[in-house]
Amino acid sequence: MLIERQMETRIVVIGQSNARALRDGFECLVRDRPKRLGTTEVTVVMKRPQDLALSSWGPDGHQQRIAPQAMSEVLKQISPTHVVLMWGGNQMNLRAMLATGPPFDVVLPPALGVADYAPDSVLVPCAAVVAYVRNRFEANAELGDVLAATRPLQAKCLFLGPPPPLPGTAVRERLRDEAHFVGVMKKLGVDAATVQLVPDTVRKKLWVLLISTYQAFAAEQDSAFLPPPAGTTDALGMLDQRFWGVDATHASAEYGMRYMDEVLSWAGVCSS
Amino acid sequence: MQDPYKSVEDRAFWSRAVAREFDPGAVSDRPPFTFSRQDTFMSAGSCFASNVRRYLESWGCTYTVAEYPHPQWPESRETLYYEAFSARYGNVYTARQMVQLLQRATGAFSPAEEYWVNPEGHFVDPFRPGLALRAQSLPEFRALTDQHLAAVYRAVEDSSVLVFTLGLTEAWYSADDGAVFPACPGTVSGSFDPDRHRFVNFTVDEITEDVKRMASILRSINPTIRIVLTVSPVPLVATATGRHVLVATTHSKAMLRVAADTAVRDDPGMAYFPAYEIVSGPQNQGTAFEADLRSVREETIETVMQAFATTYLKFPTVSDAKERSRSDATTEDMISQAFADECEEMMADDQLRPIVRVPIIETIPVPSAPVPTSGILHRLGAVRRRFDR
Repeated sequence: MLIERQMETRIVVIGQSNARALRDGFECLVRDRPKRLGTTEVTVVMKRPQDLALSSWGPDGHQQRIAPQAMSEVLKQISPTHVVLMWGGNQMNLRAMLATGPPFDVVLPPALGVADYAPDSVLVPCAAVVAYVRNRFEANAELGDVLAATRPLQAKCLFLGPPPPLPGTAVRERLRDEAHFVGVMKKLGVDAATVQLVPDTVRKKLWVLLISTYQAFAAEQDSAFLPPPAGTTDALGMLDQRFWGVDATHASAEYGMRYMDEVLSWAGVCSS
Repeated sequence: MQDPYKSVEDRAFWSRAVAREFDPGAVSDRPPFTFSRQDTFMSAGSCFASNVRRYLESWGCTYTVAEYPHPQWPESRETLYYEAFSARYGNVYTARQMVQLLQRATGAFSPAEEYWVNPEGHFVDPFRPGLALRAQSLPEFRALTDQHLAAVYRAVEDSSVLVFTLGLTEAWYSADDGAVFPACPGTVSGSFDPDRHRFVNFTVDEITEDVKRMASILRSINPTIRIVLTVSPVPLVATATGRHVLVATTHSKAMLRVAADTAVRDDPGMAYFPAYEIVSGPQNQGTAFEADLRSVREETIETVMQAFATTYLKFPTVSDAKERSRSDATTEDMISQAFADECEEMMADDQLRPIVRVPIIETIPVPSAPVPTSGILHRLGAVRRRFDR
């Protein structure tokens, strides 16, 4: 019975840059614990500017690049039983990793954290932060297309959340190698050595708000939400060094492996 | 003996000063003080007062802004009139409301109806009911309120001039402690409780006393601040007195006008500027208002503000001030723009070094034109068939 059930499990993970850790982590998972996957079919679809990068796991292991317009056809062809969305996730890194203007802070609702703030900072209402994230979701035509393509499939849908932010020290070391941030710093007239970073305490709060907004958005889409895996943060709530990716914003394959392990459990794929 | 009218100036005669050759810049009494480029302005009052800031800034005057949206978070910009003044107090319609705001800023008063909770569970400020960005928790509400009141205090500290426009005599207040609301509970937000919310139409004496109290509190924060009072020419939206709104408007404006004159009479640090008269006088021959007969036309506002400049500003208004103001905005825009280039795909993994190398068996070149769907499905089908073995 178990094998029959697994045969019927076809998981598609769709995402942007944060799906890379999931893809690479899943590759590690398959390699290290081949029985974990069984005969379940998993495809990670990375939406990139120029194409869709498909990584499918089965006996052979394949990657494909296809035109970005083909998302709905791909989904129809795979006919997944489970769709996992790791959409966006870098909203806060893009908006609030580099600091400009006076210091700012937010006061989290007690349900999400300690309601403290730096007294000399400009308070940004949580509602403004949430509005920013929601605008990014709602104005994103590609996400709308993906959701529209997913709905007719009768698949269970799951949203994942982005990884916790890297600590400022790690961010600063990595900034100089990232074209996007180098461009922003150039516009601001600073470089990686002199740029001010938003304090870790504030970035952690913004990430907490980001996660809660993902959760709320998932609920509105009648989808489940799986928070980032436990045990991946340090004592201050930042991404633990063991899970840092190669750049300033993303997590590692090890992190992705943990997350994908939980995704498989959510999908009912038994532990090895 | 010559009668007293023989020696007065032309401006004392209606036929010479109003019916003919009306000069808005000559309407004001000789002011007890004037302002230089070193002066810093704040303004408060009814919606008519919101015009003060944009004109002063366009002339290159320093307008105190103590509370503002963070440049990195354009979503924190408020709507309505909350960004039109020196802090986000929005419209302050009555002198009592201004006294109360200053009392709260100095810690002398804490309203019993501190907040309302809306159906979404968010916290509404009864004294700023139109705020779009509502606190999501009580700690956040209190922190944002504290920040706002501190900004009000700082604005008074940092300004050498307050232009205050008296707007209304009618108000609603809490029976708990007399705290006045800018709008009747239940209209903009909250809900009306007839046991708790009462109507008041302030008398001339009460308004006069409130203006004096306002001046006193202002000077306790900033002893040298000077005050210019105006009366808004904008008619009431509605009256709760049961009278015709035209009668109620005339009554209200008359009371405000008398109170303003009375308050400035013995106070050398306070002056009255006749914006009300310049807009409402018959010299405009019905052209001062928009078609709704309530909104003041922009040309009329400009006339009022030019008269203000003639009366109080003893320096030439800078012709390119608007241009320089736009330059300031551009700096802020540049910062926002730097952070607005937020395409997730800009950060896609092509820029990343691979951690785990997955053997690529089949790579289809990126097409310049859309790839035919059938070809994609054919290839994808081939891959899936191999999995199915």
